Amino acid sequence: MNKPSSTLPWVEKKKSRIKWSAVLGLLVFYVILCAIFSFLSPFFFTLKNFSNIASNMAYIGIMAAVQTPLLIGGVMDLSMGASAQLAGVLVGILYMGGWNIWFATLFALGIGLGVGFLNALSVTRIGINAFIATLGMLNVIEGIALVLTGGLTVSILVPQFQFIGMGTLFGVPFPIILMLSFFVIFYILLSSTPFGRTVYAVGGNPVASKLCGINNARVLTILFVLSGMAGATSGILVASMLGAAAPAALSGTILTVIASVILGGTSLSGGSGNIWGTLLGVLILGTLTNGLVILNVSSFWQEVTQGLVLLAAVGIDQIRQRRERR
Amino acid sequence: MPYLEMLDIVKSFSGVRVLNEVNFSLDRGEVVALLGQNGAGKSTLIKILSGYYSKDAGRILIDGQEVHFYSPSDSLSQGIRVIYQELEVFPDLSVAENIFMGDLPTKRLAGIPIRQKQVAEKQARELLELLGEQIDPDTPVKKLSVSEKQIVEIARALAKKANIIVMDEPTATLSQKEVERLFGIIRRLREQGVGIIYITHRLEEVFAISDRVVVLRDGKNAGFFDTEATSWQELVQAMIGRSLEELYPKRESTWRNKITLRAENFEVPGVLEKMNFELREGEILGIFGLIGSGINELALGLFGALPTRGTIEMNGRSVSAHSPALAKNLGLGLIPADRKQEGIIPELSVAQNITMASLGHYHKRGFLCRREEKNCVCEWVDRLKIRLHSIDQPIKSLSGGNQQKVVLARWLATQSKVLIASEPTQGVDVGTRVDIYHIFDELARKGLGIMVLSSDLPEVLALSDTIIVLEGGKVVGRFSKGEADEQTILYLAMGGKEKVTH
Repeated sequence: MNKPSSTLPWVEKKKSRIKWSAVLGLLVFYVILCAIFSFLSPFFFTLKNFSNIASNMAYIGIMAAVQTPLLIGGVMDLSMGASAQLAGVLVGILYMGGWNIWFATLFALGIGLGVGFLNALSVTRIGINAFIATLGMLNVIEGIALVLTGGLTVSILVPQFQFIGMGTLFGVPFPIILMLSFFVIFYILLSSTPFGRTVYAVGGNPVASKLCGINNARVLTILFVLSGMAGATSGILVASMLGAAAPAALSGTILTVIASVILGGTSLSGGSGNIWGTLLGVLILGTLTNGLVILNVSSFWQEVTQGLVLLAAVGIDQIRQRRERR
Repeated sequence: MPYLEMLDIVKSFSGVRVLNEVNFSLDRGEVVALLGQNGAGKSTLIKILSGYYSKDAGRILIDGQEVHFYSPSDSLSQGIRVIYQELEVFPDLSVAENIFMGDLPTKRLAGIPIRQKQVAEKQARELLELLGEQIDPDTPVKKLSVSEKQIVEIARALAKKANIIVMDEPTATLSQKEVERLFGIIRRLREQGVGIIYITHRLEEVFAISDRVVVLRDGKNAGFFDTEATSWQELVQAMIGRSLEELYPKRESTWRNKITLRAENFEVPGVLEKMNFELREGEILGIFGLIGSGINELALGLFGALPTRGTIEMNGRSVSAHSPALAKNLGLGLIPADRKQEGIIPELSVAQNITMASLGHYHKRGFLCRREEKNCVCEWVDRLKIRLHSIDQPIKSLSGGNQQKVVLARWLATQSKVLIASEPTQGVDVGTRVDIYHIFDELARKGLGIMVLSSDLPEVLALSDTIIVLEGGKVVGRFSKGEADEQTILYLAMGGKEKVTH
């Protein structure tokens, strides 16, 4: 029955350009950005510096890689950064309390999973809007992290544990490897598995996806659980890099995460998005910060520039889409 | 000379003529019923009158003067007001605020407009009294019943000095008592010289309230009647008297004896009363009902998308209270009535839309097998003659008819045993309609059980081996092929009590 029918005219198709044009635009933007910084500073365009950028952005990248499918699925997880914070703090406290460092790490990951599951419950069972549900969760777990530490920094100086944040594998910093594996895994998940396809359906038209026999609640639950675990991973990474966990170290990172995903061309209203766009979004924001630091621009101006870049990129994309529609 | 005249109105959408030299007139203080089957052109005509669509040809005269409507506000400024089925009220605002929305009585205090609550409420009360109603103008509208909300909309129309009020199926969601109340208001409006265009499916209301009747059929005038001088039979004849035979395949019943789907005491609480039916392999079961009769809910309920009671039995498995996922596993497939909201996933490609319900068929060790997926998609694109440039183009770029074929292909790809098609040809061009009918015929011949739930009577008559008629959530008639005739069925579906004998 399924004999190849490649004689049909419409199979001889061009790769759909629409999906990639946004990513290509970002790539061009990134190259221009790098060119400008290279021109302004001799210290910018070096392998060492780029490896620095990527390592420093790794914890954002991990969260952004998982936030992308959430946004595609029509939800978001604002509690991710807070999960990261809690995870770091937990590793520190449990280690101080005499736990084996790897058990402590596993436990922290488990808590991340639990947080994700609670988010999923309030969104899919109770029906709280994802934005509100995860905003509430953000406050709760940030608060718990503060309560657990009394607001103080916990140091975790264990050589093996510090490998996660400081080590290298085949000469490549481990954080970069960790981040890239998240991107690769989630790329494969989104593009090559039945589950990934259903994520697009749930975000694109939840009614239609339900009427396709897809269990929307199950899809969202899996996404939230993955998100909680990614948050925890990212917090463990930061704790390892710093050799310490501070309960408020990651406040506000979630905004950078969401900014990178949006910058990468994922739609806030769900149903479309591309994970490589997100990677570029992360790199653009990271490079911008790095470049401005090298140029000795005050960190206050860095904030301003970051905001402007986000507005410009999304604005240009909106205008482009409107043109296409006409 | 009548107050409003619409002369030789022509309107086409992408080459299809939906209105062909339609004439319509309305005088002050007159109630004219606009009658016609779905797709006859009633709503297009009203949208032209209200300025939402521009006419391709023809003239609109008000008081003998030609007028041009370029936007809804042009029509509003001529005193034309449409009250749609979906009421356009602001639920959190008060009755008075709703009535005067847009020009609340204000006075200026140091140049800043301050609204005058008392004045607004007094004026609102006067307007409502004009309609013979006493509703507290200070109540938030969300606390009112549907019929009271409707009254608020009518009062708003009066506040805007409406000379013509169009009511689009105003009684669809009203109880009998509320209908009486509405008729009282309509009579008062008529006394005040307001002209009313009354759109309905229910013939008894036509006789209860209208002075004249204008019937449309296939986008053309099919008759002008004085209500007093006409009869049910005459109106029904005018509505259906068309020959669309060439549209439909010559079907011979192909059903086999094996029952594939059986519904027992099946019920959608609050919408659909208990019903029983059986569907055999190769049978096309037509469920006919007008809008609001519950056909759409029956389709969704059978597919597990609404809470239901009773059981459905398929291939020896009997289930109650199921979900769409379970329905799919049983071998059911659903073509939902609202293609845009319930059918397509707009951002995804044609191919991804086709395989969305059958992703389980194309994976190896958890990964999608692109080649198998593509082969399946190409096969169905070919067999259903879906017109496209590429199977990877987004579905939203296809025409309505081709989108509908994609949704059909989605369920054929899952190898469903029973297809539930709700309004399968709504918003579909004639060419695709013919294709869909022939596909259904072919599928039935291959043994698929098909349910066609539709408010298009000729379609149901032409396709079905068995016909069930629904009205107000109840089964009001069952016919097998040959013993059903259009007049009887339409009569029953419109709420007629007994069979017409003639």
